[in-house]
Amino acid sequence: MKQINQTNRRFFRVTVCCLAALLLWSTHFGFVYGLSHFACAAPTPESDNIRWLIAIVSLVCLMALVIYTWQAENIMRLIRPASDQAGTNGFLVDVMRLLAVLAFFAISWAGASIFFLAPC
Amino acid sequence: MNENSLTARQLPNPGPRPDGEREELQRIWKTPTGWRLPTAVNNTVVGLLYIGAAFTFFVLAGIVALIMRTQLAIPENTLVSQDLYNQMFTVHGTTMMFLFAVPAVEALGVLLLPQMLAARDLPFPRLSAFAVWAYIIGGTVFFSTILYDLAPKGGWFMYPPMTLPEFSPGVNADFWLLGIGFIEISAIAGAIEILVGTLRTRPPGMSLDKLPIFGWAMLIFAGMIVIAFPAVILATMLLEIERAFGWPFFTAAAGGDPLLWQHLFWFFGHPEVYIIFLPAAGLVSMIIPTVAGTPLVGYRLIVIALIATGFFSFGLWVHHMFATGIPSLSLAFFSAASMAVAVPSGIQVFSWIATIAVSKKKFRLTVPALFVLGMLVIFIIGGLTGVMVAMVPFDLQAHDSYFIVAHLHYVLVGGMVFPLFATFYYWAPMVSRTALSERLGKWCFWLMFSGFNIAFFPMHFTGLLGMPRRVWTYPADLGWGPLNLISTLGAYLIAFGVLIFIVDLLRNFRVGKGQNDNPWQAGTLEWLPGDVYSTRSIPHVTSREPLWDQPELAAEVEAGNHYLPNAPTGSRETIVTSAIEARPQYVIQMPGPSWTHVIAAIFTAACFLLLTIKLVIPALLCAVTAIAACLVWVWELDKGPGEGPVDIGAGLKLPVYVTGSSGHGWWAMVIIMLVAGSIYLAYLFSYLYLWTVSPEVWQAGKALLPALSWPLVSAMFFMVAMLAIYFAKRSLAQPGQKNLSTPVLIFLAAVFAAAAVVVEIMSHWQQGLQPSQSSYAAMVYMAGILNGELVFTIVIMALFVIARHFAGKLDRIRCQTLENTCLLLYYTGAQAIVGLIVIHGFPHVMGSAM
Repeated sequence: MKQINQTNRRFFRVTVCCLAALLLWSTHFGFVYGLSHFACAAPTPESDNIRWLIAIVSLVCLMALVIYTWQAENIMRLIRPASDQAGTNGFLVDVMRLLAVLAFFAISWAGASIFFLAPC
Repeated sequence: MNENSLTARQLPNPGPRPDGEREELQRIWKTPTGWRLPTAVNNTVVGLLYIGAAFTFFVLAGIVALIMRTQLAIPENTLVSQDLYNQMFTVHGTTMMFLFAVPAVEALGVLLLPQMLAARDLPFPRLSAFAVWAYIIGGTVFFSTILYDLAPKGGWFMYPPMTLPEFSPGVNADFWLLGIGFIEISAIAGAIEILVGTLRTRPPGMSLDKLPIFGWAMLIFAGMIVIAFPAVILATMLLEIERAFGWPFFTAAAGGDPLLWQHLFWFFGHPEVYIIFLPAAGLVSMIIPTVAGTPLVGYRLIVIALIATGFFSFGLWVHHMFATGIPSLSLAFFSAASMAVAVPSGIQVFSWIATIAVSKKKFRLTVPALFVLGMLVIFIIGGLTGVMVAMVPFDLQAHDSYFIVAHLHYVLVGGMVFPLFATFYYWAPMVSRTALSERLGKWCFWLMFSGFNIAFFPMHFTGLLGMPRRVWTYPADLGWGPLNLISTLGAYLIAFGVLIFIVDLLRNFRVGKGQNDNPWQAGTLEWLPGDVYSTRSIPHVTSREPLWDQPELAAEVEAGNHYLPNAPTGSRETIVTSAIEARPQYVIQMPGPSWTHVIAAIFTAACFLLLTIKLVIPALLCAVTAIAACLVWVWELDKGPGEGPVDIGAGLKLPVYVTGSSGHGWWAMVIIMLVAGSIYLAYLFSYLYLWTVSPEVWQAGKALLPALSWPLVSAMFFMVAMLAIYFAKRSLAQPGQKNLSTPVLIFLAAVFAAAAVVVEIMSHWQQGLQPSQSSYAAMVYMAGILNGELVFTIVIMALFVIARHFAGKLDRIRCQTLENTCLLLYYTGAQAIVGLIVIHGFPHVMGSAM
């Protein structure tokens, strides 16, 4: 029973791991929108600085995605026992990487807005 | 023998099966007939009922649309009054979105998933049955309001301030708010069933990389419902509370903001488009390989496209609010997400085209194929206009015009209605003794396809000429008449197409099993031979298209050579497998037919209806009856280890009872916690949003914050409750024995949790804070309501578990009910403590900024 319970709990870790790139996109999206909304609710001369903050956060997220894509196989190896890895590991690693590629473009597009538009 | 070492040729149960086994399965899974039919819970019965009801609502909403199109056919027409027209477009949109589209795809999930997964049924059959009855009753009441001038008039998105009591007096808007709130409960019930069913009742060997694409689509669909629907549940609660009690969430004069509704509504509303589209896309991904006679090209790409679409769709909600004055940089983030979501949608379209392309002239132009091709054309046009309206400058021009009406119908009809008709023609032979007619189907397709384009393509131009949506009529000199007349003619062609489909149904559809189990020569498991018990045995799966790769599989399954060919516990069962690799873990014992879920659905609907017309005492009596029916329903669900472990084949002996994170009930509770968490996140968003809109109201509210000792007492009470339930679980006695400290600790846990909520509410009340004073006060009390709802549930569950203790149905082994109560109490405690920190800490922390 204990082993079965562990297998089932591992599912949640694997799910979070596979979706990490999109969760990062969600966090980035929530952060940049929240920041922009907050800064523009009562605009001040300092509101312009949010561009820099958005640029830095976007770059950090993009770098994290690159490392995540590169290390996807090792990450999966860390959270799944060897007995599970023969079956679906290749599939799950592909899912991680391909989702990371999509998240990379989505974060880049959102972050690139700062080059074209005023904050408020 | 180990299940993992099985190959296609090593059968789990080789050799002939004993006499009478099949008959026993038929007896156990028999569908009640006559006046007992409503008690049925078999997925085929519930699924057909569900889809029949959804199709009926589609026809009814279509008739309303025809009347509207007739009204608009010529300028200055007076066929219907302006007031009735307002009710019509509200009922049309609401019915199509809430009573047709989402229920139809949930119905297909209930009907098709167990067959595709070769499971005997989904894990919570009564929950599906409850969902369908709740939906039919609630939907019928809502739709009928148009017959007696009680229908809402605010459009399917019911924007305040127009829907506040000052501008929408009477109960019309309340019918929408409470009716839709009720139907959302039904949708979430269905989503829980689909999530747990897809993850845990797959056949042995069907690891995630072999899951049919429709299964993936339904997983994403159900996950999206869990995250998206809570936002609109909260929104409808806030608006109904403001209408009923005057708490000013949306009234600007008291610090509220009508735009909060738009944020919450569209956080649900845009993903809703994909909630509808993704399952339909999953169906298309199942039909195309069959009609093309070749496996789907790019399975992995389609899986990631489905997941990515599900995520990105949550970044699009302001896409509907481009014209509300939001700063341009914020708009750009949503514009970027709107374009990002086109990428995974494009991946799916190209995969379908590639599959057709590699079929090398094997492609069969049957009716399902025609509808799929029609869908491709229509959806691509809708997708392209979607990219256009994702551009903020263009959207500002097209906003609220008929261009948007054209766009949304191209997306929704192309993305959902055409695949649904393909589904009707493709899967009808699975549940009908005869297939639907190819000849009538072709008539139906061409009328619908040409009619749709004649009706909706001209609307792009009507919109660009400046015709706003939702106008009752228009002057002749604006030049919109000819285009509107063409659109109306197209609408009638669509209606003729649907009429032919209904004739086809009446002529050919007869519930039962046809002579040919696999008329399309498809590769997936729903085409295995079956009966009321689904398949005779549960197959061991080794590929994505098992019927193509294992030609002898159908005969083996029918001969009972695979897993669980019998009913070892003498009741309804299926195999529960691990979520990723689909390794057998235990045999689930499922409940059979019952009146309880029907009574629960009827009285829940009655409760909501009576609340709408402000009959509070009868509504409370109905609520008590519904809760009592639910308790009777779940009393026998926690059956205990009973006759396990049982032999399912391949030398595997599985338990029939598990606890902890293996149990399907535990998974359902985790999903319920996710729903509650999503509602609370939406609440926190609303709290912070209203603070940014009206910081001065928060500043005034800060002066009325109670002393720190009050929230500390409330938090301490919650912690005591959590500790009490923790020790209650540890105090459980061995089977056959009782430990009096267990019910005492459970009771204390419930009492302290309830006291914690009361203390928090009283702390604000004694300070003189009234919820109708300001948006700040309303948000403070709203946190109490959200926690109070959960604590009320915990109190009921605690009393239930105590009753089970005294009935001898609770012990150290048989403790699923207590485990679930513990989980919910831990979650509620954590949520409440976060709320206390926000409500009592945030005004202090942000004091200097305000």
